[in-house]
Amino acid sequence: MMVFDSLLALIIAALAWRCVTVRDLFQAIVTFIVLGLMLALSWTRLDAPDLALAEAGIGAGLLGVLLLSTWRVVRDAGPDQGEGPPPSPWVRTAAAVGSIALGTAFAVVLHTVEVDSDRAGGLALESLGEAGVEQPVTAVLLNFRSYDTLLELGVLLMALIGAVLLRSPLIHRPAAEDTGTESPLLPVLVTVFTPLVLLMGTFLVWAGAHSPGGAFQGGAVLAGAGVMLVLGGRLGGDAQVSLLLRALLILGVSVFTVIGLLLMPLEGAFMAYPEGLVYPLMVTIEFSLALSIGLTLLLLFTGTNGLRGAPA
Amino acid sequence: MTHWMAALLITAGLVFFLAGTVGLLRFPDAFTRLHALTKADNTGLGLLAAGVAVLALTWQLVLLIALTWLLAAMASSIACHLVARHGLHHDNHEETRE
Amino acid sequence: MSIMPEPFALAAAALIAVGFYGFITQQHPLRRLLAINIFGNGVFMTLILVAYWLPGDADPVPHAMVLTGIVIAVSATAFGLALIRRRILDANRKQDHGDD
Repeated sequence: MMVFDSLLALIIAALAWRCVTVRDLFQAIVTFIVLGLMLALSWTRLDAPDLALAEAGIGAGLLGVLLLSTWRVVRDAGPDQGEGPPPSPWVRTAAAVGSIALGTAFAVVLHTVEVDSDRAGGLALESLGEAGVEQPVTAVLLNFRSYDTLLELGVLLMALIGAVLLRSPLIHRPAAEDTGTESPLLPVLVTVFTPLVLLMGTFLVWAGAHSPGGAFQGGAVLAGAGVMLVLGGRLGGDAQVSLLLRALLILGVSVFTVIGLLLMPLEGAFMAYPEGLVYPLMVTIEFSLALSIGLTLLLLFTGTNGLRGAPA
Repeated sequence: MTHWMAALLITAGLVFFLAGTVGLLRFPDAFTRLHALTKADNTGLGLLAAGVAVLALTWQLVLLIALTWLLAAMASSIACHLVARHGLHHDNHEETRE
Repeated sequence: MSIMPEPFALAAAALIAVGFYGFITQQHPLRRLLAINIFGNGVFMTLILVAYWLPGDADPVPHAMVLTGIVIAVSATAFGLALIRRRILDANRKQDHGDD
């Protein structure tokens, strides 16, 4: 397997180099997406299937879609957008020397690092029985280090709020010609695949308790179903945001916080869960997180404040 | 016996992938490239899936592999159709990029 | 950890170096965002490697950190993309007013 790993590592390095140096912006974005998929492949090799799923779904899939839709805005704006003067050869040389030094130093340090067996992860694995779920990563995210996850959701929500505030009154919507609604095959794709993708997203959330998966991976897949509906013309952006949508967007954060606060008198600490109830609580939290994550990511894609069903 | 069959199927699948990739790199325009990519890759994926299915221990796994192949084939065919359609409509006012 | 070069450790170092280089030399904001993300992926790869090298099962704590990191990186990038869109829209409007 050493040969395969070396090849994969070489491909990753080459793709990163191409993504950074290729002249065409579109090619850089596509290379970035392929790089994300290759990273996902390498992370499955490194015993991290959860992260591979997350990288393929969020890092390569949804971020790729976001990048491509922004690319369309950049392309439509004309060739000279955002182009400053090219850096002088001196800057280039200095940057090359600096980054080679940085990379070499990093590689050397990484090869000499001593891994200590006394670590937080060991504690997490030992106390897995108290976590209520069998999957260690989910246990760490939702139980042992739930503050991190709560604040992470806060960051995601802040990103959406920031994007909403930045939106100009002139809402950019995908042009009708690009949605491809005129093709007779597209409705078939949307009709057949949307229920399947929704099912898969739900499964991933549910599976997070005992096997690779979880709220973030499942939420990304749910958002993917939404992106497909938008591109297929079944769902459109709207300037108005409905109360229901707002409620769903903050559902994850609120359920997480409310459960944490409600159980405080019982357990004596914020976000401590009583023993018998851990599993149902975790599943509740996870599904509400996934819904909020999926919708937030979808709204970041549509670039609109709200959503509405489009007449078929 | 099953191992040899699986190896044969998987190797054949890889040959199709190789042919599709060569076609993608060598063919002159978007339509011929799509032709090479989707046809060869769908066949390659089918052979690969068949090879893995031969090695699978349970029939549930075989069904799952078959479903995966079917969905991937459908998605890639429709994606190919959409790309080709887009290319056809925009060919007149957008120069082909190398 | 070992004297033998680890291919993925070298890849992580390459991602960090290339991401840094791209961030300095690229001018377009979208390209810079891509470069930052490549740098971040190098960091994620490092954390995953450390978790992998530990004896026994892969360590779930670095894994959870990387999962958090991926989501945060995507959030920040999405916000950056919204900034880029707004910048282009404003530039266009300025141009339109200039033409009048």
